[in-house]
Amino acid sequence: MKDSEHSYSRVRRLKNQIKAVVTNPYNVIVLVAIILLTYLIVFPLVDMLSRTFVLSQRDLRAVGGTGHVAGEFTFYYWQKLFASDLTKSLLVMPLLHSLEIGFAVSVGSIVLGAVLAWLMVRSDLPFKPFFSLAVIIPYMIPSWVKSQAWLSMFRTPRIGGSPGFFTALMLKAGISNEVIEAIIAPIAYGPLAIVVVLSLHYYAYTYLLVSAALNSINSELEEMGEIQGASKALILRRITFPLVLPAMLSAVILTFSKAIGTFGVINYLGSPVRFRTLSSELYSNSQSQNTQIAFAMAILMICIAAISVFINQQLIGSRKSYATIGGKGGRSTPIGLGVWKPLITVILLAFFVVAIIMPVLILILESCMLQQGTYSLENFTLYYWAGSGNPDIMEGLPGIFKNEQFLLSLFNSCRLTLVNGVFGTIFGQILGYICAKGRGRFHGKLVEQLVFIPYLIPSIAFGGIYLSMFSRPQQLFGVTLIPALYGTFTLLTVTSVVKHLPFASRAGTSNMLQISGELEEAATIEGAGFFKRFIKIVFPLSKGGFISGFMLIFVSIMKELDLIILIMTPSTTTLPYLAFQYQNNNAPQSSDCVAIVMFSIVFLVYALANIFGDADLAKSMAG
Amino acid sequence: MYKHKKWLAALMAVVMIAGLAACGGGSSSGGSTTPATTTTEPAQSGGETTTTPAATSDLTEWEQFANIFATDETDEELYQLALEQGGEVSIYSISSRTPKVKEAFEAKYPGLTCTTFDIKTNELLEKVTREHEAGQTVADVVHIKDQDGSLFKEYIDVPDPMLYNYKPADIFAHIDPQYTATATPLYIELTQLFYNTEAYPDGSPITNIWQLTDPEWKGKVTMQNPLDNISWGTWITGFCCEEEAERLAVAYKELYGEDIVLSDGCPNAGYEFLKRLHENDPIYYASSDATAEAVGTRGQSDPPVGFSASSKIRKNKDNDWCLGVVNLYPDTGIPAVNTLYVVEGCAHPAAAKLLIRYMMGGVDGDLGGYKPFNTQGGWPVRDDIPGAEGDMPYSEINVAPYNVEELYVSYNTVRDFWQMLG
Amino acid sequence: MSKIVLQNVDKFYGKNHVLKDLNLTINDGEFMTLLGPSGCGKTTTLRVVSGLEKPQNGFIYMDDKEIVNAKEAKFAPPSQRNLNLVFQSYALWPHMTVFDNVSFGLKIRKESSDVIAKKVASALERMQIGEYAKRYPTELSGGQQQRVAIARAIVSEPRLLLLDEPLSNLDAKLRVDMRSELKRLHHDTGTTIIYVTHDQVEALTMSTRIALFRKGELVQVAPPLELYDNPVNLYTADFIGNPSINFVKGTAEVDGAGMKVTSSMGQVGFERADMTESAPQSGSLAVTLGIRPEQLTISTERDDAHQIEGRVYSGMPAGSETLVSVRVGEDLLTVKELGSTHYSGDQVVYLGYNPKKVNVFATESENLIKYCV
Repeated sequence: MKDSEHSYSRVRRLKNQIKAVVTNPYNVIVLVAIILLTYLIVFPLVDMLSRTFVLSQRDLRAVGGTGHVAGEFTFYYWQKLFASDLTKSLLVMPLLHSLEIGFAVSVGSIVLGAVLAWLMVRSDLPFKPFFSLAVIIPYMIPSWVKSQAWLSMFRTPRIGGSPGFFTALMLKAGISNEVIEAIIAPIAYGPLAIVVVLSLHYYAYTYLLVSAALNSINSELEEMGEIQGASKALILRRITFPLVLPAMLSAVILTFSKAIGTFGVINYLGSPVRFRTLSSELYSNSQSQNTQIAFAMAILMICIAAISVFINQQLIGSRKSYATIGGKGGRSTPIGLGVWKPLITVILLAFFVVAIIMPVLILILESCMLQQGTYSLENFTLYYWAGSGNPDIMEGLPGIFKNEQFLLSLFNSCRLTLVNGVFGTIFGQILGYICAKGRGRFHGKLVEQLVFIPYLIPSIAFGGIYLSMFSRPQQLFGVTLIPALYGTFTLLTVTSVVKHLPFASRAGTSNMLQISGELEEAATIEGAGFFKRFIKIVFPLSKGGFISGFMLIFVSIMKELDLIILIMTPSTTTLPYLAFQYQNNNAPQSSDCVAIVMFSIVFLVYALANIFGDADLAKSMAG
Repeated sequence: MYKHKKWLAALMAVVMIAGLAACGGGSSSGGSTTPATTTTEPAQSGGETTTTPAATSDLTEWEQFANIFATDETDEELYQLALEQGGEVSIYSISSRTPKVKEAFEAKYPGLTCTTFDIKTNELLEKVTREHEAGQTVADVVHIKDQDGSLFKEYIDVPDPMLYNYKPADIFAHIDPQYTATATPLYIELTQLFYNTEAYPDGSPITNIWQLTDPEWKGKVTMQNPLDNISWGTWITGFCCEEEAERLAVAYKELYGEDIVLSDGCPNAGYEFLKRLHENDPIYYASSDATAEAVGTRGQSDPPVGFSASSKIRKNKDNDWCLGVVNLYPDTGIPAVNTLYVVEGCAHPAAAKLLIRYMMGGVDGDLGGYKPFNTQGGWPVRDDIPGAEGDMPYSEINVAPYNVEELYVSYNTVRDFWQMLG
Repeated sequence: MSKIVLQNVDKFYGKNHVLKDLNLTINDGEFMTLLGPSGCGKTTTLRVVSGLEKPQNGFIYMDDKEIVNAKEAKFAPPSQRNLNLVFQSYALWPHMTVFDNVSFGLKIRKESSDVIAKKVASALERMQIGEYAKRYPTELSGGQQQRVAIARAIVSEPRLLLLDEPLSNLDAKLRVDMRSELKRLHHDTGTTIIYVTHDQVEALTMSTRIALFRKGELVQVAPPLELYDNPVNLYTADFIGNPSINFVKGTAEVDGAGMKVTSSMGQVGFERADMTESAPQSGSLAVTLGIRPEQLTISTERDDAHQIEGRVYSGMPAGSETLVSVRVGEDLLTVKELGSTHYSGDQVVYLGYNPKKVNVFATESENLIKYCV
């Protein structure tokens, strides 16, 4: 049978090729995923981008002259950003500040998170179950609560208000205002404060990623080093560190992009010293209805993040995988901390008291004060929790448990977080599967990049674009493909799911990377189709990670407000909306109550998942 | 297996088509603002009951249906019409006090249901715009502030308006025309300077606005960064308007006894004031609450003074603060007027108009709709409604002239000016 | 039970050309071993046959039915090839019991539960792991896991069984046991087996034929003994055999009757009849003699004039046999002698061999020019 004996048919080849693509569910899913992501992510992005080139009605006055009309093509916004008198104060300085914060927070979070992860996973630290539960709490506490706590410790007399705890102590000791100012002010506000507070928030990412990586390292590798006579420091540096480096790089991306994108803490702690970053400029411009400038800035930030993702892909993309399921189970022998154990334990306990228990305590305390800022027993009340509407207090607003709107919002929030958690996680796992299987290939990289974009599109912009896209039926040739979704719960869900895909798919990717490809191939050989494989092999093996992915989404959607406020209708309000409304309504105590309820739900679900589902947020983010 | 494959192939096709449709749908979504289809049906039935058939040819279908330019309808007429139009009305508001209006409104007009949604200025505008573009008009009434005149210039005074000013003649008769020229005003708020009455029991240490630029007050004035939002951005713009700048120049001379010398890049005394204020290192806070807290907290030996929303005076009671209001000379800047609009294409225009009349205090002496807004730190626009207890009468407060046209034109320039200061 | 034909198969991973124009026929019922160092393409060949990988060029036929036609982009899915595969890592599903692991494929095929139970029991029994049916893979030893993996592969009675280095994770003793069991399995079932290994002992002891790979190309396909006796080139000769074959450089004068080779092993004549077709007809050329260690005789006394004198470099008695390194001129030769004999360093010894049993390779082309007969 020589080659020439084969008849060759172009038609057959084409037929086979099409058949192969169409009948392979993996291809179909990749295709569907790419199309959907393009529709749900690229479309909003292009919408944003194109708006930055269109002159808005409100900027006609600035452009001046008569030759211009609203809606015409313009470079006005980009020029204003890159080549005008404002460039320095609008772009350059804020950008430098952003990078400064981004790098410093990355370093801080990485160090803190990695040390904690190592202590939790590899050392013989006592009270590990408690610590590992506590270590994740900062991620659940809204960052503004932490900023508030920070100021209530360090606030100086110059900026007014009641002095912070430390400042008050110094004042009592008779130290003059000027000296206090010189010592405390640099700590209290500005970059240092921001970096510390943000690091205390975002170290969770590193902790999650690195502890997952550490978990998958066979301790024999370290023991081998010990046998060779290496010191513990050398083992850490030469063996452990390189093994968890990819996880750290991943954490750097998440932390860095989040740190340059965050606004609340920077505004809170940066304002008193006029420390502004790209994100604060973005927010200010958006609040000043300079939407186009804000969009242009958001696009810049997306570019920065995309570059960091790209670098990450280059750095760790070539690594084979971290397949730990299917290989030999690694033994893990804790490393003795020796004489340092009591000291480290005490430091950790102190850390948790300061970073976790304090903010929560302050929040609870404030929710129980009849008048804010008056620290006395008579001032203590449970009115804001369960009072039944006294017209003298807060304009007759009843305590939250007596308030129908609270109950409605509670129901809505729970529904939204649960539904989103489930759907988000499923999509995340599927996308993670694509990223993992397509690692180093074009479609894998594409999906990984696409999925990361919503991470940085400002929530408000994202919500607004979705409102436009889905408020009327999507039609093609007169056939309605997607009915108008505005005002429906579905739209809330779609928006939240897409916005949280970066987390979900990150969790999914690491999950899938842990599953050795041969396990699936073995099933292929047995004749199991794609779906059978997914249901019988892939899904059961990733169950733990599934629950963790669910938790990640659950936590962040529980806190979400900006994203869905545009899409919300009066009957679909959620707890964060209520908290915001109370704050607006001069009822900060009620707002605190709602925040505590939110936190409690999140913590309860996390604790339950931790106890019963052997879920671990950590497992869900490696890779 | 084969079932799955077919199913998937079909799904894929659907998704691809959906993708195409989205692109198509997106490109057309930015265009014209035709009324929602839901409004066309009542338009036919409601059109017959409208009272002003004149000039109908120039009006859009919805404008006829809503009879939006009528100024002489009575509460009773509107009530009946509202019932015919479904008995519902929906309001988006920047105030969290609207639920109280809702209760009073529903009690006064049985059969009407009012839905309220409170949301911040930006989100409100974004939401209404997006809904309107998509033809999914939900809100009938919008309660917002037209800070820099952009609502008037961009949403009302344009060929295809998204918002309409409803101008009930009987009520407008009681309002200063400078506030009704471009909007239907509800009540007035101010940005005021506060001081700590505990630290300064003899009264405000500052009376003339230029004192804030003295070295004595360097780093001791709290405010929000004017760049942070449109309210503060407009407030600083107010100082740079021509008439106000002249007042500032006069005040300067009165304080220092000499004419003001303008720096490079400062076209008038207003810009000069902003420049010097900026150079005096004001302390920015992230919110109006925080600026007020910084000033009003008791037990401070050397507290700052600070600009804050006038409504924060109420926190004296809630939080045991000791804020004192300064009636600044020449003035405290421009007022922030809360305004009400009817949304184009809405399905319940009669109820919307009725609700607006009710909120503005009506004409029958029932102030139930206005009461929730008549609190300390907010002033009625009407001359026949008394202000809240404890407030200085509005007429005695020094307020800058309010010229929407000029504000609108200068807003960008002044904001950029402040941005350039760093 | 199945005949496999691979024709002109090419496989690339990116720019990496892993299989180069591979042509291989595996006959019905054969135990074909793919042998070669790691990275030579043998596992890839197995995966191409299994359908897990798609080659960029070439054809594969199974019982004359076309299952791969790369040109027309036709690739039959693994499930339609009636084969099964045992992975090097076993790839047992950790969340399933042994029974579930083994019965998975049968359930996919929707066999009735009676049949499944019977078949699984029989497969487990044949692998002597019947009592572990309820356990999870992690609760089993490496050897037991390996048996489960094989049981899973044979339970569906595939016409073709693919084994990817199945014994590499086992300890030496278990490996010998499993070897004989696999051979028995082949004998009992008659299934065509393709077996991948880098261990030549496994290849030589178990196979009916061996396909030797080198950098993605087939070097030689032959029954084990033929491969051993007459490797087609220096590479094969060197790869096969433990201890390795001795190579001695020399020069040859070729004429119609045969050739004369001069080397440190003296001057030897070979007949034309023993030479390959590709051997040159005349002239002189550089050649390499290939002499298996067991073909060399060693004695401390010269008892034949043809014997070559050498000095012992080192002696390694191992009970049943003794390996001796002997320096002859520039060359270091390994001699394998049955029984245990003690040699001291630098002792003078005399080596003898039968020229008929010697391979001769052309040094330049590296190809065999004279058979061992």
